[in-house]
Amino acid sequence: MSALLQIERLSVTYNLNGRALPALQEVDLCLAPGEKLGLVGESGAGKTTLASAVMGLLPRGATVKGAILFKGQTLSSPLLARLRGREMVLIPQNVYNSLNPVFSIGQQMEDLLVKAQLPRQKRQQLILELLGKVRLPRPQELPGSYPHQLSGGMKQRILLAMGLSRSPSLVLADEPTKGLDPVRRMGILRLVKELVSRNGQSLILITHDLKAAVYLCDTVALMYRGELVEIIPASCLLTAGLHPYTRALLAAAPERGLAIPACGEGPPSPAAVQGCPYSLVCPICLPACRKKKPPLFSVGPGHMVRCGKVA
Amino acid sequence: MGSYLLRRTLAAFVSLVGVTFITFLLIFLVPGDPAEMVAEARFGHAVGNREVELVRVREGFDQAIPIQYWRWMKHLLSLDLGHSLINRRPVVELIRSRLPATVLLACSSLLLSLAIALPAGLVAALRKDTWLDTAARLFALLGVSIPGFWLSYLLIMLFSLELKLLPVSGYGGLKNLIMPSLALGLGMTGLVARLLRASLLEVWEQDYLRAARANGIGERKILFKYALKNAMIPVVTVIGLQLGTLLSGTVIIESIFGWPGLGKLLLDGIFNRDFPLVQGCVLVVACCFIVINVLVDLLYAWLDPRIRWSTGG
Repeated sequence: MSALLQIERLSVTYNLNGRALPALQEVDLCLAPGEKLGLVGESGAGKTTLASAVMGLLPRGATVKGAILFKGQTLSSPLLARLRGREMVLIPQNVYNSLNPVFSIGQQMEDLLVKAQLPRQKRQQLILELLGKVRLPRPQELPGSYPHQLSGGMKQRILLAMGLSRSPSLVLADEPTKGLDPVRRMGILRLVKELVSRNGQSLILITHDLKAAVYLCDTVALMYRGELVEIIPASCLLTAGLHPYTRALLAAAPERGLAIPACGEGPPSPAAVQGCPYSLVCPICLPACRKKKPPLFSVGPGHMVRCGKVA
Repeated sequence: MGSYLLRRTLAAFVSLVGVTFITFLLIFLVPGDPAEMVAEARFGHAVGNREVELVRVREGFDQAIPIQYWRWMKHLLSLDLGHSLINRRPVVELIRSRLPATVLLACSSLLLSLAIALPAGLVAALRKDTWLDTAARLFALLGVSIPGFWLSYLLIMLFSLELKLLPVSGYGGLKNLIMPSLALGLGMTGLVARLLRASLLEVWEQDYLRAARANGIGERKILFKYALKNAMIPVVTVIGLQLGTLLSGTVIIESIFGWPGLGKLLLDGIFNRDFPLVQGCVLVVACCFIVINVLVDLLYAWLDPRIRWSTGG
């Protein structure tokens, strides 16, 4: 089976007032149709950059190296313009500012359906259907309301409904539960799981939450400072995570008292490190790790680790 | 929405009453005895005490100020603003004959100003940090800094005296309208262009535009619908405030270009110490200002739903 999305040696560098700021370094990823991938890492690890690069939504002045292929075609900006919203969507990160404050929900949703050339009444019906699908209570009241009148959980559901309105084959969800309380969080995760698996869509879930990734995904990729450090089947993550960073994240889970062993702040810039980017804070670091960055070693079916100790 | 409209109208009404009171008090700000001024106007320059006292009693200048105000208001409600002290014609009639010229000038100035400022601000924002942006910003800065009266003379020197393309002054054709409209609207043009640029650049970074792009909304729609409506909110506020400046600017510009409008009428009234005329003009200008402000507020509410529903009080 050919890959839906293939990312080959993708590097992204931001330009901050003339200073080059590497955000992603030689990332290789492959996503099969229907596969659900969790992208986990701390803030600044490059998760959102990766999603933006796939969507072609990187800020001005970012340099991209490497290739991204969607259904075997290299993504170019005219192709991306055709694919966005139809074949691939991004459910945005900031729920509170991702709906346009000056247009009603109905107006914003209708813009997504305009291309469908439907009569007005049919469009309205379709909008209600979409809102019903994400289990919003009293959907008939929503098209006339404005974002500032809705709660965060409702906005997130509306954003989901908008993203899924044209049944894209790839859904990128950038921290869909950010800023929501725990009860709403679980509801959204359950909804995403149900909607995406019902249609057999591929999903890239960006999250801080390891358990959310395990719950929703087949595979989890862990990122540290712009690099993939471990790719692991979700079912093995909690027990068989190998990379010291993965283990640190697992140990930092709240039910273990949020103890963060030997994690701390990293170096000012990943480019400043010669060897493994994690070597500066790694509790099991070998002398060789500081000199040369270890490659991704395959350690089992679907399981790869970038760690000198494992080799 | 209904209650917002009601509240705004009510507030405007209160302002109107305040305006009538202040306008009425103008009589007492003019140096000299109003009764004497009226008597002089009626009986010629050499008036005696008898005539002055006659006028004082007949016109009620001897009564308490609240009573005088009440009388003045009663006349006002039947659209009687008194007679000009100079040419004895009813003030209402004078204003009516001059108002269209000022409305024409203000409207054409506003339209011309927006027709220049909005595209300039848009282009500057979209082509940020290119020579186009620099040129638009420089132009806007000049627009804000150059006083209208000075520009008026520069325009006259260039287009009338040097190139002989436009008439120096006068009223009538389209050619007469160009220079005064430019001179009057210049400050507003610069301000609006700068503000739209800044506002659009800020909106451009907002998550909802990124989200709309991620949902496949086309760039043209992103700019002209999703971004512009948000970016126009502060711009509309400033346009509303600038309309007041535009109205007061007519006083100077109309005098320079010999434009037979309300501004020139007002200025003539002030020079002639023709207080009924001054009162009338000030009242009309103030009312225009209040009505414009209500209209801008309604436009504002249409632009920003958060205003429409914030019915707190």
